[in-house]
Amino acid sequence: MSTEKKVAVAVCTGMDQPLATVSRYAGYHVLEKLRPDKTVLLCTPALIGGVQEDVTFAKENPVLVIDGCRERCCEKIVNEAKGQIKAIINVEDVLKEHEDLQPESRAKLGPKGMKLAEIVGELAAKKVDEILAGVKESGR
Amino acid sequence: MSEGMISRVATRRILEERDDVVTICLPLFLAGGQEERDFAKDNPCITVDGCSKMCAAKGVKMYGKVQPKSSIVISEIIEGDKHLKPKSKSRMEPVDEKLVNETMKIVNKEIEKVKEKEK
Repeated sequence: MSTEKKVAVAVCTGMDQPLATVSRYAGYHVLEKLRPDKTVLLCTPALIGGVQEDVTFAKENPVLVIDGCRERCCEKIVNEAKGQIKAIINVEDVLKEHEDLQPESRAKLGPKGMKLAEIVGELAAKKVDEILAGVKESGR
Repeated sequence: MSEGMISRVATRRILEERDDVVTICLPLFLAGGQEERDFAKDNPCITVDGCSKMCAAKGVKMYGKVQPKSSIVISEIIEGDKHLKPKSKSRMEPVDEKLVNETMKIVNKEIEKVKEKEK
């Protein structure tokens, strides 16, 4: 059985803001397209619900947080569960650098919002590579 | 998980159709958002969970000390009504529409029941 570490990706599960939707699509972009063999989706509500399988996974694997907004709920929840956060991306910060990429709504991101999600996803993929390189480095 | 997506899509559509329901931001609620927690205490709450872990229902009970008036679980609807489990967690397929519609029907019914009791 492979013991290779994977990066657990925690995305915003909020429903009331378009940036939460961007966070989720960015996460799916990394998980399904960019780094499917190196990442696993972390269920953040399960962490707070005390689901042991999820809590253990977050403790034993490096975690990349993709928060939607300034409230930083994902980060707080993973910290509360004593997960190992190795990197954090906040969609609001990325939007500041790409102000023209405003998502249309929480239900439909539109082409600009999807582009923003792809940019966040690409940033996340870089973070995944850095995290795993660090894990290898420290394991030598 | 893909059932989580169904939960979000069905709930979002209900929010867009009705003006007597609101959503609370679950991660904010769980992470300590006082405004969200107070809102759930002061108003009847229905949870729509994706799977049998029922994290939304557990979360509002544990952190908001709120007993949901009704708890709906998508995986139970799939089993009970022999729906196909959605394949993707990020993309709705045309075949998933039936499950979303069924979920909306159930949630709407529960909202009406809760409203009736609250009268």
